[in-house]
Amino acid sequence: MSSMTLREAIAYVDRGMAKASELGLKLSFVVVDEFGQLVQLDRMDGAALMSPDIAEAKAVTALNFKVPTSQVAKIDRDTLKAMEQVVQFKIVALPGGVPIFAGGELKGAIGVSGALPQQEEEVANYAIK
Amino acid sequence: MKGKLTLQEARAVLRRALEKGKEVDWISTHAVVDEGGNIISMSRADGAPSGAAPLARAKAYLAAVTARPTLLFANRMDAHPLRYFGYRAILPRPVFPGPGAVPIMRDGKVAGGYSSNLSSNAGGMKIEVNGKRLSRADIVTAHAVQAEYLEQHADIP
Repeated sequence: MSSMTLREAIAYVDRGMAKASELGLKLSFVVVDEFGQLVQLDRMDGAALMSPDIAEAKAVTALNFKVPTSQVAKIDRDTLKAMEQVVQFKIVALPGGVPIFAGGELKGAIGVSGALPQQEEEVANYAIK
Repeated sequence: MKGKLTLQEARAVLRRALEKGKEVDWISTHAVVDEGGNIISMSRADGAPSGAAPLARAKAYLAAVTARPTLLFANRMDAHPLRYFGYRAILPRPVFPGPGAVPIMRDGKVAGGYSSNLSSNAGGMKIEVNGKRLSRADIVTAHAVQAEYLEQHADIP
C-alpha cells in the first residue's frame, strides 16, 4: 500500500497553492506516491488547461529519476531520447518536479506547472518543506 | 454555484465523496472536471486501487461532454460496440464506457462532471439502506453532487 496518504498529499498542494497565490500565480499541482500513481491533483482557477497533465508528467519524471526535474533538464538530449524509447512514462525535463523523501526513502513526488520554470520549482520546493 | 465550476467547489464535491465513501465503504478515486471535460481536481482515498485515477477521470470527462450519466453511454456501446471506436477516434481524450459518472448540473445546464471508479472494499457493490439494496458507488455520487440517487450498477451484486 502507498506510504503517501491523501491527507499528506492535500497538505503539500495546499502549501503550494498558498505560495502560488502569494506570488500571483495560477498553477496546477499533482502529487504521486512512490509507485508513480496519482494521489491528489488540483488546477487553480485560471491555470492553463494543459497544466495538470504537465504537472503529473513532471512528478512522475522526478520520482523515476529521484532528483528534481531541473537536474533531469541537464542530462544531454541524446541520452534522454534513448531513455524515452524504453521507459513507460513521459519524460518531462523541465523544472517543476521534485521528489519527496522521508527518512531517506523515496515517498513520492510533486509536479507543478503553469508559470516560469524557476517559479514552478520554487513553489514545488516550498510545498514539500 | 454560479458561473464556472471553481476549484473550491470541485474540492467540496470531492470532500463529500470521500466522507460518504468512508461511510459506505467505497474506497475509490474521485474526479471532477469542468464543462469542457478538463480536470479540475482529483483525490485518491487511502487504500484505493492505484489504477482508479485515469479511469475516474475518463468517466467524469465522458459525463461532462455528453451531458448525461455514463450508464446511458455504456448501454449504447453495449448495443452498438462499433460506435465506440468512432467516439474513441473523434473525442480528444480517452473514453471509458463504464457506468457511474454524472454531469454536474447548474441551473439546468452542464457545469462539469464527476466520477469515482473502482474500490478496494471487499463487500461487493450493493449495501442495504432502509431495506433497499443500493449501489455504494451511486450513493457516493448522489451525495457528492447533491443530486437524487440514480442506480447505474443494477447488474453488479
